[in-house]
Parts: sequence; structure tokens; C-alpha cells
Amino acid sequence: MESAVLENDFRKDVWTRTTTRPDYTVKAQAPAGWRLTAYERPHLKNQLIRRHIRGISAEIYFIDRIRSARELLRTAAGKKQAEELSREFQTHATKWQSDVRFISSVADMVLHPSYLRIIGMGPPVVPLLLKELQKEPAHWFQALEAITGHNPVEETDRGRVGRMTQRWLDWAKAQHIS
Amino acid sequence: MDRFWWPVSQYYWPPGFPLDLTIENFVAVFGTFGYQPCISLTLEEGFEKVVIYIRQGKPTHMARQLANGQWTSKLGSSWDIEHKSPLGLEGQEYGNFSTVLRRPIPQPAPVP
Repeated sequence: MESAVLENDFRKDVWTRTTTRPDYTVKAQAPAGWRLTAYERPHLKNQLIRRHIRGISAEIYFIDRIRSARELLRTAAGKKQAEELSREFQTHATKWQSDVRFISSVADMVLHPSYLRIIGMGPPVVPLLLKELQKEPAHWFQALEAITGHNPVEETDRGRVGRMTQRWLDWAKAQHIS
Repeated sequence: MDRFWWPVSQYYWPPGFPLDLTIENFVAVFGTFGYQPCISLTLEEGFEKVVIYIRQGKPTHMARQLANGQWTSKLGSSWDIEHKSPLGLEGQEYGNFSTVLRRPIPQPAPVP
């Protein structure tokens, strides 16, 4: 299902890691200026290789989890699981929206037990959160950031709920999640 | 004000102030708008006032005094209400009001 190949172009001394999945491929090159030969400083080079691979892994980990969930939806067991997830999500989302409608503190909103439970559901719940945002902009941004590790909201858009929503929806589209 | 202010990531908080949920941080930010701590809740001519509510030491809500002496609060994202006193909102949701701040009402520039 998955393959990762680390190649070294010895003429240019450039490392490339190609990760292949059923539906996409990530090809990443080592940072510019990384031109140490294996004989000169092998320990440093190995350390850089490890760090670089870890970096790529972190980047694709989250998207992988969402896509795995999507794959799962195609099976009967997966559909049942997805229905349960969706039902649990809706229960908590409705309770959260009802309980925090008079709350001013973002900290209090995100510390609500239902909000924390939704974060705890992990990456499979991201498409549901995005759907909720599409329906009605609400304070789901902290949950999305906590689950995905991303924050696509630019400095100039902070606090503008409409624009924050649009930034997240654009980010999801770019990641082929929406 | 079309922005949601709060000291957490993704929300607006003025540059140069930490993302700390402390009363000192809120008072410092209000200070940039000319607000200074005071002790009285009563209407004072020439001043406008705000109060900060805290629960377990953390700011939860703010209310602003209107020219008629009543107070106005935004509950959540879309509910604007008026109340007679800051005490009216004390309770489980917002905790208690802890700090009163005031600033001179900006006077319009004289017409030359």
C-alpha cells in the first residue's frame, strides 16, 4: 500500500525521499545547501537525514489519517463506524453550541467537555468540523488546530470569524479534505 | 469592533501583549485605550467605565457602562443585553466582577 524510497544523487549529492500512497505521491528534496559528503561528516549527515524524514512524516501523518478514514467509509463496517462517529459528533456539537451560546471566553468555550471530546475523536472528525463550519461559522478553529497541528489563519484575519472560516475551508480544499 | 479579541492563537490580541489569560494582561490592553483602574461603579460625568469578570482568577467577560448609567454586555457571539449593575451578571457562567476601569470620554475636537 505504501512505499518510501530514499534516493541519493551522488553526482549532485542531493537526497530525495519519495513516499507513494495509493492516491498520491510526496516527493521531497533535502534543503538547499545540504551538500555534505558521506565521508566528510557522516554522523551529521545521518542526523540530518533522520530529521528530514521525521519532518516529512509529520507533514503527511495527519492527511494520511483522514484519507484512511475516508477509505474505511467505503466498507460496510466503516460506514457503520462513520455513522456512529457522526452521531456522537452531532450530539456533542449540539450540546456545546447550546451550552456556550452565552459565553464570551474562548478559553471557556474550548474547555467545555463536549468540545474536548470532539478533539479527542481525532482526524476522522475533521471533515465533520469543516462541514459544520460551512453550514455556520462558529468557534471550531481551536479544535481544528488541535487535531491537525495547522493554523492557516493569517495575522490580519485573526478574530474575524468569517475570514477565519474561509481560511480553514481553503486550507481543507488545498489538502483535498473537503 | 469587527474582531473577536481573546488571548489565544487564531484570535486577535494586540501585538506586544502575551497570550496569557490573566487579569493583568487584560488591564494592560485596556490601558492602551486610556482605561485606568478605579473603585467606583457609579456613573461619573466625563468618564466611561468597563468591568472585567473573573472566575477562578481567569477573565471570562467584560461589560461597559452606558451614558445612562446602565451596563451593556455581549453574551457569546451575538446577544447584546443591558443590565442595571455588573452584579446582575455574576454567577456560574461569568464568575464575579473583579476590576473596574475608567477613561475620560474623548471630547470632539472644537470646530475652528
